[in-house]
Amino acid sequence: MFVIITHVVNQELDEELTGISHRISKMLTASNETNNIEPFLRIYRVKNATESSSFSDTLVRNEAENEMEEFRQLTVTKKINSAYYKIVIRESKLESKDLIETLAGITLLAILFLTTTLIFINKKVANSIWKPFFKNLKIIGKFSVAEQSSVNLEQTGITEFDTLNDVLTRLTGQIISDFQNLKQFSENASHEIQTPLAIISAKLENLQNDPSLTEKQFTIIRSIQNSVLRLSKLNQGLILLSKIENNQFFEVEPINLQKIIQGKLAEFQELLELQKITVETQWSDDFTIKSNLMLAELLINNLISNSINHNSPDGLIRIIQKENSLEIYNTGRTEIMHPERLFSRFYKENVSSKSVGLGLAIVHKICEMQKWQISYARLDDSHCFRIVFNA
Amino acid sequence: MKILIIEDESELLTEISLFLNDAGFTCELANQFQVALEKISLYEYDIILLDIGLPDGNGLELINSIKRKDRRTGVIIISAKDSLNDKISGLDLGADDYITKPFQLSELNSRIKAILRRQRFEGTELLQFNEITISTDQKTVMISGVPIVLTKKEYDLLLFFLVNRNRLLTKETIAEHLWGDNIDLADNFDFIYTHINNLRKKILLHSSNDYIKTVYGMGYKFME
Repeated sequence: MFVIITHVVNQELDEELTGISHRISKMLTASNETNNIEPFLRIYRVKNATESSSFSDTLVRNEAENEMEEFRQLTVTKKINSAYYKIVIRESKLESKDLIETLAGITLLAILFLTTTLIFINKKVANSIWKPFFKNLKIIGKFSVAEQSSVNLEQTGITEFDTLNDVLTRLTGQIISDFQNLKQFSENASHEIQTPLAIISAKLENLQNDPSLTEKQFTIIRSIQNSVLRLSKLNQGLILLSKIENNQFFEVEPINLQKIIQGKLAEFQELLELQKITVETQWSDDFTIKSNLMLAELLINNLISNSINHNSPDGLIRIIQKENSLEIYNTGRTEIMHPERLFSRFYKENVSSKSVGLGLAIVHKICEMQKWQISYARLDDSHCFRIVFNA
Repeated sequence: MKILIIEDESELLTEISLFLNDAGFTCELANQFQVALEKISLYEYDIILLDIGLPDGNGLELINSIKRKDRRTGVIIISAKDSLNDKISGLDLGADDYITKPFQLSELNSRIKAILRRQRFEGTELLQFNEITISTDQKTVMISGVPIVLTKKEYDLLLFFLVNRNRLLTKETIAEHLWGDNIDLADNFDFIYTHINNLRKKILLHSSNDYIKTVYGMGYKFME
């Protein structure tokens, strides 16, 4: 900018200087008199020269203020009345410098003003344009497939956004209906399996009491019956898992874990005594978590029954409840081969185990849904499960 | 004792009635909502087994009709769904118990007997088997008039045996009855063995009869 203005001003000055030089040439042609007006004009005669003219910038001492001042200077060598004159014309650039500064200042101010207004207006406009968008974004963020209806988005009046909303509404509607279909299918499948299972189980139980059965036949019947029982438990476990996943246990209340644990220990009392398992507990005062009661009971039940089932004879269960965490240790001689798969469905450490293998998967799912961190560690001769609750 | 079984699955209907006839009950069968409604209005029953998933009507609606007719009629809901809501609304409507498919017939039998005890004798009945007397009200057991101390599970076990006497009970059935869904004991049936042994020892302290017979080494039968 500065360069442009300087250039323009220089050009202006140069034109002026050229004009003056023409007038002086005419004056000289008329009178031959040379009057010097320092520092603006100096004329002197020169011998043997060629006609030329050149512009330059120069500094001249101002006697009054004893300062160097900037001048634009035109040096013209001209032949007038058969004599060569060198004419030096100067024009102060001081004024033009002021001009440039003023101009620059005004321009800068204007730019500043324009920019702020622009930003301000932009913000205002953007706010009003994007407001419904962000509102809709919030609605979409809260969308859950478990809900029965598709997202209800606000009309924005902006074509692009409205198109986006239409697409989103259709998409979520589709997702929900797909999800419902799938859910209904798996629920139906699971529930419809229960009746045939009940028939098989009832028939086997009646058959089992037939006095004419041989021992061999009885062994077969019993084995079928156990498989039916296992299938039914498996089915129930999977139904439970999908119920947890579908967030069907949503009622939340403050829960005293200590009470639940003590209740479960009392329930398992006889099993613990039969196995000669000692239980040690350590409580922190009055610790409550917010959760669903059923889920909390299920969690504790599965963890404790796990620690009974996989304990060693004359073993130990240690339950430590800290301010924000719960640790359940149980003795167990063998190390777990694949601790990273411990929480997966149907993972069984012992291949010959007849258990269903969903207990810890359910524990893991509950923790996941409640955003608790569960971890497993092997410490000395113990298996340790640790849950960190979010405050 | 008369029982009405309402169940749309005829195979299951037959098996349940076979079993209950065997256990000494008189059974009537209904495989449809309308048939059931008719029978309920015409006859008196001690117990009604009700499958709520009927194709031509919601079984839950039958509970009202049953209870209006005779409040003392015991209702056990049979459901394919282990649904807490169904359970709660069923029990709220006046059902006495809720059992989820698939179930063990011996378990069903013990539930029926429990309701009968509660309703006919307000729970004060003394269950008598030879020298063994069980007061289900007090949850106490006496052998030849001498009280014996049983743990809770041993008491449950003895009652289960007595109610299902002369029937073969496998370890799995017993484990299911005692511990239900709380613990998967599939790998630890020694528990059951120890339970039964302890109970047997306690009875033998006061009686010379070992009623708990081991059958084929795989199940148990309570018999003389």
